[in-house]
Amino acid sequence: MSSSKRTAPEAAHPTRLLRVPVLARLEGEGGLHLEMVDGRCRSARLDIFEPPRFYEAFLRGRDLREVPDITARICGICPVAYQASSCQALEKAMGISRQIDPAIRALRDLIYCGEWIESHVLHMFLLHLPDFLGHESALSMVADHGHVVRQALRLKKLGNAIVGLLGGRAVHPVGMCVGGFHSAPGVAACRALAEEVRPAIDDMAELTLFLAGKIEYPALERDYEFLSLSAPDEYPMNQGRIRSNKGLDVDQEDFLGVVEEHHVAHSNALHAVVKGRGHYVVGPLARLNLNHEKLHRRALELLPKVCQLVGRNLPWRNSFLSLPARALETVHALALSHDLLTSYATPDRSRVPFAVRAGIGSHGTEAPRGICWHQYRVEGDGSIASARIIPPTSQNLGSIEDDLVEFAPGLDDLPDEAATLRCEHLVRNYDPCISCSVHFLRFSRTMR
Amino acid sequence: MLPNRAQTALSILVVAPGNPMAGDDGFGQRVAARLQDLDPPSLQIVDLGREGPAGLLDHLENQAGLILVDAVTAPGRSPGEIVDVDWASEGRPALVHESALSTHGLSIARQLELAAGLGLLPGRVRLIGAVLESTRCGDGLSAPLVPAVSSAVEAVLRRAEIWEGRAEAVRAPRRRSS
Repeated sequence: MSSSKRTAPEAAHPTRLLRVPVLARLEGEGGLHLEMVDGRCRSARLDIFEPPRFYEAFLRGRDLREVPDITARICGICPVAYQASSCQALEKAMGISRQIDPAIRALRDLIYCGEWIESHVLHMFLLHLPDFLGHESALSMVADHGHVVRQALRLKKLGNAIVGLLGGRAVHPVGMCVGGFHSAPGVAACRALAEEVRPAIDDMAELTLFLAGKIEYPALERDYEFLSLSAPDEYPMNQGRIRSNKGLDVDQEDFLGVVEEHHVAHSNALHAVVKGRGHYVVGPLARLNLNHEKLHRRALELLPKVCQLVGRNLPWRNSFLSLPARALETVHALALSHDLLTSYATPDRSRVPFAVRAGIGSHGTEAPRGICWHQYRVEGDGSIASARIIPPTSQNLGSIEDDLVEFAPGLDDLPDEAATLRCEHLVRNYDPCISCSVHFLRFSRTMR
Repeated sequence: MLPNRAQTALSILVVAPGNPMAGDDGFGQRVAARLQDLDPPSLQIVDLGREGPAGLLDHLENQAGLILVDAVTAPGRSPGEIVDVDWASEGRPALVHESALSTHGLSIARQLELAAGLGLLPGRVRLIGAVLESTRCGDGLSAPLVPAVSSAVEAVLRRAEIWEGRAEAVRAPRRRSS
């Protein structure tokens, strides 16, 4: 556990390299260092000390059918994203991608809805909202906003139920496989769950307006490059080309032709850039800005009011507005899941069979935090020859640091504790998997 | 708002968090499995091992009482020693991961705190566990904890009797047919 350094802003702060213990879970504690010169931020570093996890290495030699369940362990809050990306990349490698039935694709969208709901709700109401309401944590928020927390917990439970229905369980679901699902749910179970989801759409719509109207969002305006999937007729989740607001428009297979990852000295997590341009942003803000017209009707009808309440029309170029963006996506996911559950019919088959062959396949899906992109090369015996996994959080790290450089001058007059809190708020805009522990950023400033 | 669940007779919730693949951290699951075999009529037994500790909140509403069964850390006490205390009692031994609030969810302690704030916490909460020796990777209990499983099962059943105010002798629990 770390704590912020409490000193008056005018006192000299010795520079120090912040080292934190490496945790056993994926997310490690993040360290933050800002270098201020004459009131301007010369540099901002988000130090990531989580150890390399070597997934890409130890997947080599494994059977391709093991990959979805192995990659699901990369993250406990978004295992569906890793399974969806790995399954669809491997289906391309096996040449069956075009044979995946629409019914199976619908089930994939449904389980993804469940993940978006539980991940977004957990982040919005238990981790991020306390920042905006001046509370230390969700626990202290209960006294003033107990009804909000209660609703959030029920919504999260619904998200878990959707994932559990299709995946066998909510944590590290095991239902998805290359080709589809091991088994399909029963119609009665889907209809019963639909009845629980229906009133939750209104609940989340109400909470969305609460988030838009009751919070004063800090000012921050940057010229981001937003990247997301983009499909003709649907809000992006499982399918689409990769597009940006600055002209990028490529097939999934060409992702590595336009972005590249590189090492930075202060982080075990790679940073990513659009080649020839720079850092970019993935996640709810990117998806909303690029695809808002494809939101489910129940979310789309809220958008004008939300824009009015936050005082900004789309596109939103303030990362603090990721909170209402996440809320709109949660309404979308609830409404879409209700449609899918009420229209569900037992499919002719739950998965497409395939013959193992050598091949290569690439596919990204929209994890709650953004594009989660996988590429696999498979040998003729079905073993993995190579794997490449690009998670959303590492793609956003560069932008987080750029945000801090832009935001930091406004913190110059604040004592360290208050400045730390503001920086933590900003980092949490991105809902990063690195900041697993709330309020545990170590903060230091060098003032010159 | 979500429709209320149909009211049924309130039961005593017995929850076993912990990781069955981390040595003694699987103690709770072993106790839960034995209780499920006995199938006591007034107990609702939930194994959180697969679901994850963050799922506790989903089970708390409308319960007559809560018994947490888990391995505990207690410096100075012997591995395998049974702990049987009120959750709120001073000096209560700590669970393996006592507090966390993260993108993965909330720890047991945090969830109980949150439940209390929301009015969801049952009026009676008990911790019944065993002092752990090791949480090394693997699915076996340390030697001192093996016999502690039976002791913990008895302690859970005894606590249920006390809470239910049963004056007569313990009715032999039904054995669930396989």
